[in-house]
Amino acid sequence: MAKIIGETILQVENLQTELHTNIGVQRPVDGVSLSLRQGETLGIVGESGCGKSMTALSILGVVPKPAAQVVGGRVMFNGQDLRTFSEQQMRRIRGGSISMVLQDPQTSLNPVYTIGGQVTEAIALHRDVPRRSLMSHAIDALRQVRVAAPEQRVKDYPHQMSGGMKQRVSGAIAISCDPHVLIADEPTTALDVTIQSQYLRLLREIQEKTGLSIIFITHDFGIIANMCDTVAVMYAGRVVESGPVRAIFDEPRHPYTRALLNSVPTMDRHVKRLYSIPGQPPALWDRPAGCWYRNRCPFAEPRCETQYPPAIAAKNTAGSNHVANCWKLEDSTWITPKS
Amino acid sequence: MQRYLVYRVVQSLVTLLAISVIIFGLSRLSGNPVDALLPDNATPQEAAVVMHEWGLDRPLHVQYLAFIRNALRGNLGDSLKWPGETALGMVWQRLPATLQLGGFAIIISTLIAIPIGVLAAVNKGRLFDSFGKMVALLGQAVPPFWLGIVLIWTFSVHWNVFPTSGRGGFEHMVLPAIAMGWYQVAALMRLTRSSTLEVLDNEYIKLARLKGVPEWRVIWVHALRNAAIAPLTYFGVIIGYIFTGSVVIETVFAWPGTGLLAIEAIRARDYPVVQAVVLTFAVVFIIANLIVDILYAFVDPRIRYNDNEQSTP
Repeated sequence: MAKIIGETILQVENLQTELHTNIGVQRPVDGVSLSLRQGETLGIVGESGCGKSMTALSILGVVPKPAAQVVGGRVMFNGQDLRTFSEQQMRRIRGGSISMVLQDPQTSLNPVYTIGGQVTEAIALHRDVPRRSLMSHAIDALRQVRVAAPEQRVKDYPHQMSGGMKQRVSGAIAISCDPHVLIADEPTTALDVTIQSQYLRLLREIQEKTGLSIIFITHDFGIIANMCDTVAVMYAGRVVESGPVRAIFDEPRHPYTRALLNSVPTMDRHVKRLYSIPGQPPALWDRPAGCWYRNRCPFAEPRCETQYPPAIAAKNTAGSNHVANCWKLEDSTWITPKS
Repeated sequence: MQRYLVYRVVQSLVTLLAISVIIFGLSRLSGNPVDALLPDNATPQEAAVVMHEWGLDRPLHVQYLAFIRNALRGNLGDSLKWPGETALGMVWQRLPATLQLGGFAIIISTLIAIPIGVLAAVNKGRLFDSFGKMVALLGQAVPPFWLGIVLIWTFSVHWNVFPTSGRGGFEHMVLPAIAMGWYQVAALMRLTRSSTLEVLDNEYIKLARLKGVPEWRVIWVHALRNAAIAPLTYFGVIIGYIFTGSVVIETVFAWPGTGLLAIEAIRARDYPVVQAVVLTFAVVFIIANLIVDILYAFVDPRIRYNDNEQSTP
């Protein structure tokens, strides 16, 4: 499959989001940096609660207010920092230049409005299209995501569709305004496996046709392997390792990445008991000094207890841009061993 | 949709039938009307003659069928207190006044309660929310008859801005409508607030924001129509409250409606009129609930299509 990957289109630098709760101020996103090039698919992977979705919402400035607030960092999109944009300017970005598909298709469409109404709403907001041709544009968008008989389907309500169909409608809304970036937040988690692979194939086809960049949030390494060019592994609100997908799979440098990969059941390895990482991620309000993973890490050293490791480049065969936040990388030949 | 409508209409008719049984039964339970009509020294023979003449010696089901037959022809008997008037005629004379006041109270309460409820939800935990809570607390804690008297004393007697009582122009409706509607504002507002809060938590609200929909549209278009379903259902109950409440409020404000008529008829033991009032209230209540259910289906497509209609045309 020929994919053309172009210039960097979205660069997230040190993004921080605070959440004000009863037990104090927490940071579900605590200094996340990501980079996405045109036509590229970036996978964000990590346990639930590690801040993947919150990162996506922070990029678009749609964090649950007033409890949450983006407090620091830059979101460079096409050379402009989205964090300096006014609410009105951001509305033009949302759904226009950067759109998003959410996890649960059963609840992400408004039950009291028709499919057509919900697709045309996005088009009317972002594209300069005369009113009377809105519906035909919506039908086109639905056809693009392979909704059968879109002319009839636009009159339907969400409850009249299957989960897979609804997720396609969400996809249609997301691509209807020709975005540059699509953020897909676990779009297939709620779908069954056959529907899931159809949906992923569809996303790839749309990407090839339009040169769309995709941020794919998931906890499924199978999907990462299938879909992504680069991967960022998140842990407790930070990216702990990132790099080209092959490098992450073949030569993971961060012990957490290795542990995640070990937790994936495979067909070729016979195991009695599926591996699971001992312990729990640190609570948002109770992060240890030093490396946040050290309590669960079999390779922890004394210095891990005092200093959070910086991003250290991994010198490896698979290419550049592979970095991990682990002291072990100071030894340039270090590859986390399989346990 | 047609199925749903037919089903609801049939259901309403069954309810009406049940109510007619209750009204008929209750009036029989209140004692033999002949005892009230005849003088104390009437002989049992004389009573038997009157009972035969009025058909009261026939079996109950025959009497009931006669009652229904007459009721269907619009004949609910003659008033005992107002000679020359039929019971139903009395009610019809007074009904417009009650509908006017009740309708005004409902419209005003809705126009006040829904926006306050939505804004309280949007500003949860802030000053506006506390203000809304106070309005609701007062409305639910203050009894309407007391509120009515206090309103008359303050605005009519003390400041002389509104008339004390009677039916007239707009200014006559203000005080009774407030007395009648405040409780409804409170209930409706709290209901709207809680259902809006629930709706705002939904993924489709998040998606609307992610689509770039302006915040006012997210709230008043995407959220409100979903949040309106619970308060709308409550409307049926409100209409019931307004009518039963009219008995109290119309008495306090001497508003010449069916509520006042009911009190006058009860005082005079004018059973046919009391029956006619109760039956009319029941019919209005049933019709109101039917309309609410139709609106309900209009707002929520999941109800509209819930029967065997095909989801794909």
